[in-house]
Parts: sequence; C-alpha cells; structure tokens
Amino acid sequence: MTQFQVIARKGKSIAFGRKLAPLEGVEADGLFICASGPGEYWVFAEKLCACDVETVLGKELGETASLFDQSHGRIVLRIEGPCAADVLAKGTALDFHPTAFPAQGAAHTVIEHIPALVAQRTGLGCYDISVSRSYGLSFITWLTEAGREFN
Amino acid sequence: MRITCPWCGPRPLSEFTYGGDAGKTRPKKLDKASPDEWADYVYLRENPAGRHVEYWHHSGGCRSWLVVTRDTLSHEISKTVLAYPLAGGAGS
Amino acid sequence: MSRQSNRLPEGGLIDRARSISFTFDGREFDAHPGDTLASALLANGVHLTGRSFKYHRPRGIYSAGPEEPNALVTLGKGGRTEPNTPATMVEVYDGLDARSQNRWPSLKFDLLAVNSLLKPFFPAGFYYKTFMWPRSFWYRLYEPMIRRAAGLGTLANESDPDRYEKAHAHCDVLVVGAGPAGLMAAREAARAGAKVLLADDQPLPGGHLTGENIDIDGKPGAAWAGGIADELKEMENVRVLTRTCLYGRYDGMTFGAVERVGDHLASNSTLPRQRSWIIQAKHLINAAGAIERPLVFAGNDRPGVMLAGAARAYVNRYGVLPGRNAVVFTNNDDAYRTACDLAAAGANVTLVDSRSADKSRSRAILPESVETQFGQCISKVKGRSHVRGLTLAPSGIEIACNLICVSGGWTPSIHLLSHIGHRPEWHEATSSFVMREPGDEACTAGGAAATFDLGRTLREGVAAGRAAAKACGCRVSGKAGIPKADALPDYAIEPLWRVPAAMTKAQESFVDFQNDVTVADLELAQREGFGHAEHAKRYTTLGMATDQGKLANVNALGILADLQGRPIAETGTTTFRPLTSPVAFGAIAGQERGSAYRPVRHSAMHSWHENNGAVFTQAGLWLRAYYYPREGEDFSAAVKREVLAVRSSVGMVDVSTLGKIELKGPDAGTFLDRLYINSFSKMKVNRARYGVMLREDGMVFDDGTVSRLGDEHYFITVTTANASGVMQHMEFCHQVHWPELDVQFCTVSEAWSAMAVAGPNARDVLASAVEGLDLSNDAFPFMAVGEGTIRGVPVWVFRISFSGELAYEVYTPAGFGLGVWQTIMEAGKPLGITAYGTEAMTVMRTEKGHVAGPELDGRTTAADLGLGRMMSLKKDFIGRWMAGRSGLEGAGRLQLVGLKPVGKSETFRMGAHLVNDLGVTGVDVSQGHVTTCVYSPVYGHYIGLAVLKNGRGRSGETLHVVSPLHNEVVEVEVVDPVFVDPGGEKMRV
Repeated sequence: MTQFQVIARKGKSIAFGRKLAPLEGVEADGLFICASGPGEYWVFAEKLCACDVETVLGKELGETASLFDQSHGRIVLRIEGPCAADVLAKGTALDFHPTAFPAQGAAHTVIEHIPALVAQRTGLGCYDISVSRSYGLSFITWLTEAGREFN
Repeated sequence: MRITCPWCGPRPLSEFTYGGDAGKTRPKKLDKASPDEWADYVYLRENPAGRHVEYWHHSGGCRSWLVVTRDTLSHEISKTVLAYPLAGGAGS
Repeated sequence: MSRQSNRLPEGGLIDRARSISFTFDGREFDAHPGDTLASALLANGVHLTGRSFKYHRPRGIYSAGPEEPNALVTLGKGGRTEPNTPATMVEVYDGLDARSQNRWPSLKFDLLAVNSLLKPFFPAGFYYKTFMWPRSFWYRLYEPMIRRAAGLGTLANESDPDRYEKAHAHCDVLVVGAGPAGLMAAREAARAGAKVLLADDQPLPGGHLTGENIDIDGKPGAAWAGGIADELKEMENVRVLTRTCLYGRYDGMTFGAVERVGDHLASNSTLPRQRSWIIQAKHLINAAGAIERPLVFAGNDRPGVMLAGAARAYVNRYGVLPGRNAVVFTNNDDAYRTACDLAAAGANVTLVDSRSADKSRSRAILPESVETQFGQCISKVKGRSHVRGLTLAPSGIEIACNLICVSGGWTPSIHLLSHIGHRPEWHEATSSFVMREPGDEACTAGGAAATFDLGRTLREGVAAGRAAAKACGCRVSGKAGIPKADALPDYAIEPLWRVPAAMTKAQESFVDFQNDVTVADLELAQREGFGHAEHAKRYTTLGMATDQGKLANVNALGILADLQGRPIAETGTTTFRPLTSPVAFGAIAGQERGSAYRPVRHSAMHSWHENNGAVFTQAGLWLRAYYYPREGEDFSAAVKREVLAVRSSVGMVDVSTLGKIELKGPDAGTFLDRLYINSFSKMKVNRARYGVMLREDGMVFDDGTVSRLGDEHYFITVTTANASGVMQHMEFCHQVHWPELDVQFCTVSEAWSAMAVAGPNARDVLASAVEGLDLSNDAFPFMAVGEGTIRGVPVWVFRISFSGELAYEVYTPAGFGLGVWQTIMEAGKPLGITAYGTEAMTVMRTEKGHVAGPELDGRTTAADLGLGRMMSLKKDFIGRWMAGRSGLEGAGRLQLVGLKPVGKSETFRMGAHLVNDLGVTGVDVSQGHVTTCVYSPVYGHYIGLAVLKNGRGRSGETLHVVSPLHNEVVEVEVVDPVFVDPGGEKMRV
C-alpha cells in the first residue's frame, strides 16, 4: 500500500492543517489521510502509486509541507471483527474504546515492542496497522498467537 | 506512571524515554558563553525532591519531545507541553 | 479410592451429579466440580497437608481463601511444576495431581521434624547469632544445611511448556471484589454509564456470601450474587474478570492483575494458562472484603485448627463438615454463626468466648445444643498431626474435639490503597486498620472499610458506585434500590492479640504460620531493641512469607503494642507493597519468552541469505548474515574466503540495517552542519561525505555518510546499533535547540534496501547491471551519488567504501531489494561475485583502519580516533565547545593505533590491556586497550586496533597485550591503524 508521511514546513502548520483537515478521516480519491502527530499527517493510498500520490499531494500542499514516501518501508495488516480490539490489547496499552479511539482515528503506539501506526479507516472495530517491514514476521507471529483463543 | 502526551493523550511510561532536566538551555552563541555556563549546561542537573521540570520523548508515539512538570516524590504530573513551539498545531 | 467421609449429604455450591478424581501425594481421591483442593481434601478427611517452614511442624488447611498460610502444595510435574500453591485456591479438575511440600521422606514421617524438638533453641535471629564462627563454615556447611531444612516447595529446572500472556484493559471504575459491596458498586456505576471492570479472585461471585447461610432479597446469598453478576455480564459497559487477583497498584491509577484462565481446566489447547492484566482506571472501588485473624495460643497451628469463617465456608459452600466435634474459640460475635452452621450440619459444638458473657450479643442465635464457655481461652492443644482435644484456661476444663475454629476478628483488605504510599489508621470500634484515600481517585466499601454489617455493606457499595460514576463524569439519577438482607449479629469485638502469657506457652503460640514466627520471637525482638514494627518484621521475618502477613500482621502489632505498653495506634504498621499475592514468573513474562522475547527484524534479502546457508548474528533486534559457510568450511575458512574474494575480485554485503534518515527543507544543510563536526551545507548535490557526530560532552556519538540528493534534500546513514538513538537526538536538537530551522526529517531506514558491492571488479559488475548511470571514474568519482535503474527498478548508487576497495552502495526501495540483490549476484557471476557477511566486513574495515562500535565507546574524541582534522572550527555544532577543552587535546589521551603480533602466529584478545613492562603492576600501568582483533587473510596473521596513550607517536614500539584473567601475554608491535592501502588509491581507481 502506498504510504506517505507528510510533515508541515516551519511556520506552515496552520495553512497545512487547513488544507488537510477537511480530508481527514474520509476516503476520497482512494486516499485516506489521518493526523499522526503534531504538524504531521499520514496518507494511505490503496490504489494510487507513489508518484501519483506525490503529484496529487504536491499540487495540493505546495510549499506548506514536505513529503516522505514510506510505501516500501511499511507493511499494513488489517484486523477486523468483534474481538479485534481484544487481540490488540494483548500487545498495546492503547485504549480502543470508541470514546478514546474514534472511528477514522489513528494513533502511533508500540505493539509488543514494535512501533506501529493504528488507523481505523473503515469504521469501528476495523484496524489497519502499519509497521516497519522488517518487523513483519515477528508481528504476524505475535498476532497469530494473540488471536489463538478467538479462532 | 502515565504521561499525558498533549498530542496522543495518556500513554504508559513504556512509550516514553526520559530526557533529563529541562531547566537547562543550550548557550546560543558558541563564544559568548563562559566555560562555567557550558559546564553548567552539559554536566549540572537538578535532582530535587519534589517539583521537577524534565524532558520526555514520546519515542513510542508521535515522537514529540515534551516538557513535563513532575513531582519526584509522588510522581504526580501537573503539566505537560510540547517542547516544539508549534504555532496553532496542525489540524487544529 | 477414598470415600468422601466428611461430605454432608446435601448443600453447597458443588455439582454433586458429577464426580471427578485427583491425587494428593500419589493417593487417589474423589471430589465434585466446584471443590477446591482444600475442600476436597477435607471432604476426604485429610487435614494434614504440609510441614512448616522452619520447624517442620505438621500443618493443615487453615483458611478457605488466598490468605492460606499452611496448605501450600506443589501442582503438576516436570516443567509444569508449580510450587507453593494454596490448596484453598486450586479448583479441582479431573486428573489434578498435587503433592505436599517440605517433608522428607514423607508427609507423615518427616525426618527433619527434629528441628521441632530443637525449637527452644531456634529463636529469631538464631542462625545469624549461632552460625557465626568459623566464618567460612557459614557458606560451606551451615547455610546449605539450613537451606535444606527450611524452605517450601522446589522449583522445576525444565522450562514451563504452558502459555501465558499479557493484556491491557481500560475502565472508568475498577471494582475489586465481587462480594455484596463490590456487586452493588459495579451495578450502580454501570447503570450510570461508567465503563466498569469488576475483578474477583474466586470463580463464583459473592465474596463471603458464597460461604454464608444468609439470604438477600429472599434468595440465598450466593444465588443473589449470581443474579447480579449475570445482570452485569449482560451490560456492554461492564467487564467481569473472575479468578483474577489484583496484585498491585501503581502510579497513575495503573493496576496489575493476574487471571487464572486455564488453571482449572483439565485440558486446554487454545487458552493461556494465566493472563496478566495491566488495568488502567480512573477510579478504584476497593471492595476486597476482610480477612479473618487467627487467635494466638499454644498449638494454634495444629492440623484441625482453622479460621471460623473458613469452617463456615466449608459447610455452606462445599458441603463439607471439617470436624464432628468442634470447638469455636472467638473474641467477637461473628464466629457465633460458625457455631450455628456447624451445629446445623450435625456437629457437636462448644463455643469458647474470651469475652465475658455480658459482652456477647448473639447468644440468642445459638441452638440449644451448643455449649458455651465465657471468659475462657484455649491454653493447650492435644494431638500432633491432628487436634484431639484442648484445655481451657483459667478453668482447666478439657474438651475432646477434632476441629478448632478460631476468630480473632477481621482485618480489612487495604493493600491496594496503601501500595502507593498512603498509611492506614487505627479504628478502635472494630479493632482494625482502615484506610481513607486522600483525594477522590479511590474509595472503600464493605468489609474492606471495616463494615461488617451486611445491610450497611450493601448501602456502602451503592454509594461508592454512584460516587465513582459521578467522579468519572457520569450522570447519576434516580433512587438506588438497596437489597434487603438478613440482620446479622453485632460484631462486638474485644481485642485478644494473644492468649495471656500466664495461660499458655509463648514458644508454641504461632503468630505467622508460614514463617514459623511465635510470640516468643516477638518478645525477643522487643527485648533486643527491635520492637518497632518495621524492625520486628525484619528481625523475626514476620509477614515476609508469600502470604505477606495477611493473617499475622495485626496480631503482631497488637502483641508489640502490649509489650511496649502503648496503644496499637502508636506502634504504626509496616508498609504493604505489590505483589499482594504471589504471581508466577510466567504470567509476568507473558508471551515474551524464548524466540518471542523481543521482535526480530529481517532485511528484505533475508530469504536469500537463508537459502544460501548464511549463519546469522544479532545486531540489536536485527538478524544479519554473519558468514556464508560452504560445505566443509568452518567460520575462519568461510570468512577468509569471503575477504579474499572481495580483495581480489568482488563481493556483496547486505547493509540494509543501517539507519537511514531523509531530510528536506531549506535549512536541512544548516541543521546537518550543527549536528556533525564537518559541514554539508556547501556540499554539492549528488555528492556524499563521511560525517561524525559528537555528544555535547565532546565524545564521538556516531558516524556515517551524508549525501545531498537535491538542493533541499539530504539523506544520511547512521550505524545500525545507534539508529534509534541518533533519530531521537536529532529530534531533540530540532524540537528543543533549533525550532527556528525549517527542516523536516523522518526515518526511512526501512524504505530502502541497501547493499555494498566491493572489490576491484565492483565497477564491472555494477556497470553491467545498472542502466542510466555512467559509472566510469571520471563521470562517477569517489563519493559520487547518482540515480539509475536495475531492470527498470530505481536505484541510488553511492560510491562509498568501508572495506577500502573500489566500492559502491546500492539503495533500492525495499520491495525491490531481493530482486536487485539477485540481479547483481547474477551479473557478478562471471567475475565470481561472493556474498560476504558482517564478519568479513569487520575484518576488512579493521584492515582499513576504519573505526566502528568498539572504538566509538563513548570515551573517544574525534581527535583520539585521528578524525580531528574533520572538525570545522568555523561553526558551532553539538559537542564543539566541550571537544575543545584542553584536557581532551592534551598529552596522555588514548589514541587509535594498529597492532600486530611480534610472533606471527599469535592472537590477542579484545579488551586486553597494553603494558610497557611486565614486571610492573599497579592501577596506572595500562597504556590502553585492544578494541578490535581479527585475523587478516591479506597478511596471514592477526591484526588489531587499540587505543594507546599518546599512540600516534609510538609506531614501532613493542608492547605487551595482557589479559590476567586468561593468563595471557602477547608481544605486539604498534603500527599505523590503516593496514591496507593507506594512500586510499584502491577506492579511487
């Protein structure tokens, strides 16, 4: 999946936020954009390649932000279902209750010692987890083990 | 102990890295500062029993450096702000 | 198979329709589902379950809950061995295997019980006072002997095959204890909309109600509790955790708990055995109830003596009559119900009350069959491995009995409130310590608040639940319905910390059963000046066993207070600390054991390394190819072949693990200038440069390359081990020191796969693989950077050399890493391209005199490493001022040098010291130490790098490398650290 880390330029975070905030949390043109840190957005694109995303975002953001292509560095796993949060709770202290982690929300955290970005792109109870690719095998091994009781 | 990251909300200690006394500022100009000022900045750290202002890095989260006011006796945290003076904050 | 001779014909919360069997010490017994090991043993007439810690006294089941001090058993075999498990907490399942502990050769006939005969000579502090001389005997003889004699269960040496896991939970209101107060509190808070987590250590809800013969709202207490619990489980904002022990409270309203998920199941393939919970709450309601206290008299530890409440629970909850001829000994009215329930179950009961008759308020509830003795105490107990009778004082009356039920009052469970440092206060009316939490994060209800009246307990639970919900921002409305409960007799306790000294023997009056501490030990502590609560605890070990003095502490404080002639409120208490109950290491480790201890990171080319026989090494969390042995090759042969292949033709190594950081923005160059000792803002686009970062104290922090990919676009590599530390440092510098800089950067370590192609034939290999980039020396000189493609895939090529050979680093988006690696290997085949591992890389960087981790040990400056000239003095950078201190520039610094052994065949050791003269010893004879030592295939002998005092001027000197630990001395010659190609021509061809 194409992923971009978008960081506001110095003094441009308001202008930058104004451009991206309306897009936040909505799937539009195959893009999903979430606020992932102060002055920082994370962009997921399921269908567009990195160059297209760069063009689209570049045009939209102009001088307000710098773009970093993370597509090759991260893998994304989707976990979904009524017990999804219970599985993830075995590895992270993130509170998945809707009041603490609303639909279309995203958060950087650590899952079983693995840095991860968790996003609820399609609604409650469906989590897209972006982790660095080198951790892929360990993460899947852990996830499989954690989910065993719900098989 | 938990720290409430101004961006991410309350998170457990395991997501943070300690950065030490935040009462020190790096001398702005190399030669304008006296050797004592440099020594003070590099080596001397307050270690109070009570209120302490310290740096914490949200290394397992949004990667912001925070300035945290913490009581070293009770571990009570009275204030947490981002170290980076972000005007308005993105998305806000 | 034994018959359940003590099982009552009816009653109890057990499943009488089904029978299950278990073994204890190899003997098979029958039980019913719903039994604990303790209730099942009692049903089968077994009281004796173990031997005591110090004196090997026979001990029996004393309680019916987690506070059990005596009936500690070992469960399971082999790796599943679980010692020191309270039999009162073990749910019996078909095939359960339990064994008694601390006895040899058998429970009934224990040779070490001879300790018991020596008892008068074994007071507190005895070991330390007696086994002092000769000192060496302590380690060789006394301690091993004492250790064999004392102690509880034995750990297994095999690893535990069971699964454990950790999990996090979040709630508004955490309710601890599912007794009447806890259930009410949970329901009220949940009805107000709060997110509630109710945790209880029992399998059934109800707390004490499960063991009582009391009705609430016209239903038996346990059934009523079950109904409320079912109601709670139906609510989506409630989580009920049964079989869950809250073991600790930590700062910030974080709690630790352990859930026995699969312990009670005969077979279990999907569930973990135990799960440790980290619970985050906004508000705590402590409804953990109270624990009954023993009474202290000689022989109060004999099997057949048990807590009065426990005896009631065995009758009511398990349908077991622990003894047919019972004496109930009490200083309060609560135990009267034990007399009633035992009598109703058919026992002959005598009630002995230490109070005078006028103090008792419950005489009316006793059935006529119960005989009463007021103003009397038990002074003596008959029977060793089981109670046979007792003597009362002062009357001297003797009573034959096989069960003694004692109640010294009730101790509120306040541990969770005191874990974060609050102190309890003495509550005179109930003779107990209570805790009022300052602030509004926690409150207490029911027995934990020393409320022993059921009606009040229910009301307190309701109030606590409503207050907690309100504190969490929920709206509480409507009137709460408070269930109607049977009236209980008043508690009316009159403290009796010990049966008076004149009546009974202090040496046999046990205060702490688990650690075998008697009244005599406390008296000794007081006499010898260790009377303070905290001193007495350590002097006598009272309260330091696995039950943490749940039964013992208050009696001990009362006894000390009496000895000191002051009120108990003034003696103070000891401090409760987590863990409240023992927790298995497995539960704390959770999933993180063996290969899952920490995650493992793999490069995109990992499968190629694996398929090509690589032996891997760990570098931080990464697995890296160490060397690639071919058939018949050992480590040295493989490394030698790999090095020679690079030096003579071409080789390739996976360097994807390097930390990579991309920087953008107009101030990116300025930012780098302030981070590194050298400058980059003036560097041309498409060029790379070696860079060194210092810490603010002037020592070298990290090194790597900085490349400029565009006007406002840089790419840096940092060492694998330091990758996260450097990123953190850069974020600090940007966010704290220089927020004015317009620079954006992030880690892209994983976005790129990287491989170094090195050797005289490197250009030929790459030229045949890379398109769109002229690699000729003129077009693409040393330190050039350029973009091209390999089979249509984008690559960045950096002409950088770590080995000292003509070399290139090729970076490609990680998804293409494996393909690009394979393509280059294919292209290099005609020239014999060889994959090499990290060891060959280390050998070659050492031959080239390049520094790495062992040299960058946090004590070396750039100047020490011969990199001083890189330092730009025209600018400020991190570490600049401190690096300029005279002490770091002056004589006597340890400087980087090369070493070679004088005897060509000799090797030497990393970390070994360099000395001038073997005859001189002392702390300052060391001239420095060896940082790296490798076998150089090029030279055919070992070579090394070292830091040596004033090293740069000492080439040609002969020194000794000494390692006294290994008894090694090797003569070496100091040489220039750059062994291979000191002029650097090879990498520039």
